[in-house]
Amino acid sequence: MKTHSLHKIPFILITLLLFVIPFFWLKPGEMDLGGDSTRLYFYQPMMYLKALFLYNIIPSGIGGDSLSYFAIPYLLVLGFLRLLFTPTILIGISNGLKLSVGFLACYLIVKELLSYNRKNFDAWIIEFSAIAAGLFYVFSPIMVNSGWDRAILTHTQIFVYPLMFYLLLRYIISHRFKYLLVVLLFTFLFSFNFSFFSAPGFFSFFPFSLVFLYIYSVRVLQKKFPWKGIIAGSILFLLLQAFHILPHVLSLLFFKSQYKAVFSEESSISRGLDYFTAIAPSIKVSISLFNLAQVRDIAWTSFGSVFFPLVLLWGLIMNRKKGGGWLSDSTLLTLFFFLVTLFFVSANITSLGFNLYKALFYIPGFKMFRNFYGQWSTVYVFFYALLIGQCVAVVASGIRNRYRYLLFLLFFIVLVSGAYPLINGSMVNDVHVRSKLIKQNIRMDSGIDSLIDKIRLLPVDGKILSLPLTGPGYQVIAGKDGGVYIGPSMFSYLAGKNDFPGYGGLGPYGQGFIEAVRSNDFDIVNRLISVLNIKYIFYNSDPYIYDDNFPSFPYDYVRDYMPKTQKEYQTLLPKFPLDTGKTENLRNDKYLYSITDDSYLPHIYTTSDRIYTSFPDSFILNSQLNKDIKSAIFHIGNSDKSSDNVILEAESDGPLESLRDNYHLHRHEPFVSVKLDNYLYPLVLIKEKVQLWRSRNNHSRYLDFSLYFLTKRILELQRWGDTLPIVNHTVPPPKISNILSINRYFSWEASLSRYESGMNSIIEWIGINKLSDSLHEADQIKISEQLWQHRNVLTKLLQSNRKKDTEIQYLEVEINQMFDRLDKQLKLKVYDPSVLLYGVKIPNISNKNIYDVFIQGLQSDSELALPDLVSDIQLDIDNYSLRQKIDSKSPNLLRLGSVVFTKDGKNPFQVLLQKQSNYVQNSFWETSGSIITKDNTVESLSLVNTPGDNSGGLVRQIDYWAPKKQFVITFNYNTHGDSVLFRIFDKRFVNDDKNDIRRHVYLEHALSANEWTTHQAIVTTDLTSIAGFIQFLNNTKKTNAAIDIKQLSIVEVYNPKILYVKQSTDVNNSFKEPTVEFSKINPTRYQIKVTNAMNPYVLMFLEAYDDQWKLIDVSRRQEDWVSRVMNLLGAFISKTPVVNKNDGAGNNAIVAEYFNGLVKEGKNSNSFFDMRNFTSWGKKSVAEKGHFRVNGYANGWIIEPEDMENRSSYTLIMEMSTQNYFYIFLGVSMVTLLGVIASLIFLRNRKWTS
Amino acid sequence: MRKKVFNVLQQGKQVILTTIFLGICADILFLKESSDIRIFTLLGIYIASIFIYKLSGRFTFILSLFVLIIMYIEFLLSGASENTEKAAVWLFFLMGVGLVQQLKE
Repeated sequence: MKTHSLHKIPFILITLLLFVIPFFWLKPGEMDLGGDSTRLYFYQPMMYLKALFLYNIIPSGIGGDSLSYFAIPYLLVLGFLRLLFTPTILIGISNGLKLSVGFLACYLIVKELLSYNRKNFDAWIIEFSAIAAGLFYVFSPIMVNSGWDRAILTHTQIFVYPLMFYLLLRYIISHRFKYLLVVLLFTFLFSFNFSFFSAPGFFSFFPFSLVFLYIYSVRVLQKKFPWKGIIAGSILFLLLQAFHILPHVLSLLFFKSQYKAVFSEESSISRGLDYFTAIAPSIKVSISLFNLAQVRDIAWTSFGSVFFPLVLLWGLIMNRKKGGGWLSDSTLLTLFFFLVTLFFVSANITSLGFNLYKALFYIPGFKMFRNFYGQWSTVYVFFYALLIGQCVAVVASGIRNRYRYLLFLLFFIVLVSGAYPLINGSMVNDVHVRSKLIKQNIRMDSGIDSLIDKIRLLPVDGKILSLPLTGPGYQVIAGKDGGVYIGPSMFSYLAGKNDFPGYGGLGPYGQGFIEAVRSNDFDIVNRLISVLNIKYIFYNSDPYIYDDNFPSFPYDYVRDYMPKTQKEYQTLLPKFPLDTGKTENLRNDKYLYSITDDSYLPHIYTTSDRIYTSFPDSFILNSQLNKDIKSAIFHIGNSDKSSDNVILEAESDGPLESLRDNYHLHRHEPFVSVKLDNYLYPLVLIKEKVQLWRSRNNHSRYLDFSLYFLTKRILELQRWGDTLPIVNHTVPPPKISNILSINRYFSWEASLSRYESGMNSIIEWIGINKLSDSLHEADQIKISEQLWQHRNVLTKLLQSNRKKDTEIQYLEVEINQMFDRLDKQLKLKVYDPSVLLYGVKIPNISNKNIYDVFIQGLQSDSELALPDLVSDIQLDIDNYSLRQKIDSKSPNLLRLGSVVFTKDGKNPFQVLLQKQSNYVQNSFWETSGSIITKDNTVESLSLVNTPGDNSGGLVRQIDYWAPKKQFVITFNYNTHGDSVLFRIFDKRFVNDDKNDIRRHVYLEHALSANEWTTHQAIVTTDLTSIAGFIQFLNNTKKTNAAIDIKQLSIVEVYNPKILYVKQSTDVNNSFKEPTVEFSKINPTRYQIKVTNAMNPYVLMFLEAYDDQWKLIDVSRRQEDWVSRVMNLLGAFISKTPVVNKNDGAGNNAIVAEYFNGLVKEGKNSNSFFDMRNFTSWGKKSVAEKGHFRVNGYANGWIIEPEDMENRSSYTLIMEMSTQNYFYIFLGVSMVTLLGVIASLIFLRNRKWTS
Repeated sequence: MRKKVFNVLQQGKQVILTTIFLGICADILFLKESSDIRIFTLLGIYIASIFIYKLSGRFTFILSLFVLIIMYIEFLLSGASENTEKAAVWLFFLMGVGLVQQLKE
């Protein structure tokens, strides 16, 4: 007995030590919060719970649906512990549990597995081998690098999953149901590890574990597998987890869930397989075998890592199987699972294995393993640990005592040296990436608590805009001692107030907002503040969190638009509509400003003004069209009356519209690895065909893939062109029947022939499958640009090729002829930028289709001072031809006339612009070379520069070059057989740094012609571009070349808005706005009292649109049986003692009034168990057919008097209906939990078997 | 005839097994790119040898040990290079073959 106890001492000491170690990682008061999943729950668990986990609403930004119930039990326990301990200690406990319980579980499992062979092993060997396995598991470099730094919630799977495995193992060995009940209790407590969000971890671990346990039970132990118990346990598991799993299931089955995308085929390919293919090459099998972390620098300590596979093989060599029967050895069984998980964690086991892995992504849901290395690492290390533990025992039992000690010592040294960064805490004491070494861990300033309280208690239910604005929507707050918190907003996730800390949260208006700030257009900024329901601006003026300390992350892209320093921010702030009388200095340079009442739109209000438009998002920002910010802006598709106000924006039908941002200039950069004479090469081609076939229903994807594969043909020549033979005769493209004749691909002619054939096919394909004439033209421009790129590559290749001159000349002729043939086949027309094509979709409503036509935006660049921008404009539609003179005094919104549409659907039309400015009128040719003007129209350019020297040639600056503009450059040329390189480049700021200017080449075209030929190029300028140039360069092997050019024109492509406006004929002068009084019960429920509602009106709710937001008339019941049951259930729950019996009747406190008292805001609360949560169950949902997305993102209900049985005063409950199911499922889980606890108590000390 | 071939194979056991081992080494160390056909052909020959020479699982694990040593040397010299990766893939397959052998023994 004494010896038995002695055995346990090392393991007890190690467990305790592992639990204690994390308490030394953080200094007193320090916390590692922040990161993607915030970890603010360690700081204020109960506030976090109330803000996020109790409701299916995102508490930040514009809101939206989010099913995050999964952490409720854990947060409740944390909340209790928070009463006793500081957040630092809570973090220490969490990390201590991960280390010690992870170790303990693996230790116990290996001990259990070895105990089966107890007779073969000495007790001390079992003990030390189990310890070795446990230590291996927690100190494996893979686990050490598994994200301890600001770990996400599901990181606890490190100890939860092995613990579950151990308890299940005990259950299948002993058949005692109490083990299963303990498993169930743990799954409830750590329910987030069994939720939708941890599906990759769950599905990587448990299916294999259960199969292992089954085989172990049946084959190794030769025991009956307790099927009944496992099935009963699974049912109880589902009931226990019902509160978070069933809302997801309902959401997937019945509602418009964002999570459905996980199972869609398109998403599996685009976001699953593509991601997997991109990251897989960097994952190495050898690194996994050496038990090292992938994609990390290899430290010197890593060189001892061979020790583990060495021990493993040594153990396998010495492994002696006792007893017969298939799979009767737990070591071999573990080896099998180790190899399977090695395959999944490393993916790169032969090309065949890799392709097999890729095929798995076509299984719905497998996309969750796209980040496969991270997802499979826990189960891989787990089986590695079990295997190594057993192998250590085998090895130790076969060697002498002193070598055993050496073995254990070496094992310990290698492990601890690899895990030292974790043990000493440096893993969790890092600095912020791309910052000036600013610490991630913070000690909270004592004022932060009061700041959060202050925000939480703000009386008005409006949103907050936090400045300085960040990129990903993170809040940045400095703590004491130099640490900075960067993570989701504390105002949202602790105070429960919707906050916009960054661009990402601003919904559809993020880009509009930052562009308006950059262009100083505060009319738009103020509109957005209203539309987004922003009541407060929180400004953190602390220079430590902005300026130089964080030059990029987390401000990134947004910094290009917003002020660069805190000083500049201070000059920006007064431009917002601030109520200066209500400004509060909250402490330490943190200010809270209130928005003026006339610029604020409350969370809930009513309006009678409805506008139906085809462009709700941009309409909101258009002050010339949207005069009353209160108006409800509907999408035109929601209009059903001929009397509706309609404003339609014509869609540009020009080909250049789809080529904005230089989509056509895209460079494909495929990787070519299989040589043309490789016997596997035909398989590469088959794979390409399959990929193309898969894309056949997606026009742009098919075109892109085709061009990508054709680029491969060119890059194959680039890579192997030197050794590729020239056969001096035409080689037809190989057919399927030639699959075995490998040499058919192995010549210059074969490659060129295949390229030409492929290009011809795609040219033909875009002609047959054209979506519209303009899109066909865009496709042609795209292909033409690829032809230019490929021609350039081949021209340069021949210049540097080591073949004979005669061969090079032969190839030059072949290549030029091929591209000329392809150009002819493409039949690309010269684009005329003065003709703008549009189409307007007229809704099918009535015969009163009289529209006023307006043009807007031609004068938007008036700062460029172009008096002769466009002098005349003509719009031709149907039989109408509307003309207007335009000059610098013309209004921005100009009426062109009226038209009557006789047909609904799309009506195409064109706009003619005359006398467009040529942007090279005022500039001259510069640098080396000479210009001879032959007559008034032709310029003969002599280009003197050595080939490859891009600084010479002749350069001409483009006038009025401006960011984000599209230009068309057209000229006629004749090079008289010379090769001349034409380039367009700009000078631009790098990272918006005005001292760092670089040159960027948009395109290069190698021109060569013996007759006058027209050339055209299109570019869109970059945001940071400051000056643009065209350049001609000698592209021959000689020292000079010549080109004649004429009719050089560079014109800007305009895209003015063409608007069709139809005013409502149904004007009700006797309309009286209803009075509304609303108050928040919790984030998923509002009470609205309406009085004086005599006419139809729109009830606006400025929260992200979701069709599950319902308006419930509490005075009426629905009569279907589901509603009756719900009604009874609601009535029952509301009578239970946990429910707060507040029905809102006595609550008359008004915190704010808007629009002269028409809208009143009552006292808001956040009550999870308010009676009003349940009294609306089974009651009538009204105006469901009138519920639409308004203002581009929000909810709007058109309420007709009939909807409310012509009552003028009534009370409505606005609820997120799916939240009701959660209450029911929570009840199911609670009842099951009580049952499990009761059973456990009942079974205590009883030897009950299943 | 079949017996004759079998006898010749039996007599050439050492030569054939050494050739297989050298083939594996050559694939890892000297041949540039990874090739499935090479790996599976060599592996197929090795599996055939297991049947012909009645090789034990232990033998395969010892062979794996040599591959591990090559892999480690490559790792020390060139990190997780293509050669190291090829060795790792061989190790994976040899462990798999050894596992199946031991299960059948």
